[in-house]
Amino acid sequence: MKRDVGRSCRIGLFLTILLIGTLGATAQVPLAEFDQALDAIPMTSGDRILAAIEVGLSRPGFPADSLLALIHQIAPIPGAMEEKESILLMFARTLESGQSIDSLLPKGFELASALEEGLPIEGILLEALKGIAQGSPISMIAGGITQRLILLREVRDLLFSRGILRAAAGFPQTTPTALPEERFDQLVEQIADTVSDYLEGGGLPFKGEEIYTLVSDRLHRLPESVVQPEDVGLVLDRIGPPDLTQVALAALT
Amino acid sequence: MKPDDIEGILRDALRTEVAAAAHGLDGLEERIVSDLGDRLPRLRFVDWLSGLIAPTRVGRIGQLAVLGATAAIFLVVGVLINQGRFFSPALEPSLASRARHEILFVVPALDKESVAVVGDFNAWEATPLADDNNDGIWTVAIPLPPGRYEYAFVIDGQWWGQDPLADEYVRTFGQYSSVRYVGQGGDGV
Repeated sequence: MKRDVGRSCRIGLFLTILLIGTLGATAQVPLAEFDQALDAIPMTSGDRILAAIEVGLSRPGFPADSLLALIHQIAPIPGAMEEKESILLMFARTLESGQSIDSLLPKGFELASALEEGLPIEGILLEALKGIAQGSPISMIAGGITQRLILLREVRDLLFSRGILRAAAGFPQTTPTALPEERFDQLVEQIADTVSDYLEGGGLPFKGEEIYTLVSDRLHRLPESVVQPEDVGLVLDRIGPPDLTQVALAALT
Repeated sequence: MKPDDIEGILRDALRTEVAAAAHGLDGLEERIVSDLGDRLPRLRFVDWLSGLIAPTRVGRIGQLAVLGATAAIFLVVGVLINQGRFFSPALEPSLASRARHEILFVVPALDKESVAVVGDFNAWEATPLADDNNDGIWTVAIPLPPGRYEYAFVIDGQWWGQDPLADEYVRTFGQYSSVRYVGQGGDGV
């Protein structure tokens, strides 16, 4: 008799768990909510992103709430339309490739915060899209995003510390070293990208001279419409190999 | 001497005289016209202009109306051109892309089913290359504004990131990609 009661309890518990699980799955965020949230972001690949989310919703354990929260965080960020779309495309392509977005979601929030901060993240997003196209593991891509975000902040802070400033759009240029934001952002992005490529290619952070040469080569090879020669001269005068070693070390620690 | 003989002698003398003076007749017509032209009174610009004005008051008002309408039409056309109304939307991208460079991507790939290029310029999504004459040389030309572009070829689904025509190479996520500088600092071709 006791055994029967115990058995009944176990079956009841199993059914309860099954019921809760089923209810949880069906109580997932409906696609219409994603559709509505995406409508707030002007973009060309909205349909594709929504289709990828629909595929994701059909998978067990899909982090629908978190993804919707990310879309809500991205939508009101002023400007940066391409970057916002690229963040969402990163998730869409991951889903299309049949991979899970779990490890990528926290990076999505980090990228959104960086966007709010005014960091130039276009290069990071292109690197992530490249990784997905290569079929690289998502965890590796997520690690790359973290490293590149650190490098962006380090380079930006390095330039600030050397008196190279970012003049907001519409404000008068108070000093010759306060560069218009587009020019400042290009310097930051190109330097950070060079250091990142160097490290990912197996370079050692202690070889500051080598990193400095790579940065100098990159900046000198870029056309004037991307980086102006006077900005290249300014930045190369004010930073040196030890600074770039510090920047590289920060990314690795 | 008979009178008939005298007439013949005179005729011959005259013929000789005329023949001797014939070279003086060369360009005579042009000289006369030129001479006449120098003597004619010159028509000055003001006179020419006043000649255009209608002789009657009604005629002059009509002329002014036509002149005003023409000026108004030119003004409206100028404003529309300035606003870009006379350019169809289809033309706008080609105007905007003037600063772009036509970059040729070339891959030798014999007996392959598909070749595509992926890169920063297409957000790492495939742009197919073509081998129309089946000689194993696949090509595509992509217009790009000046800048630095990472890219790779995907040949029958396989990543191939070391294009001999590249300016440099980078290695990320364990695989190589090629780099081209378009514009100053690299021809990108």
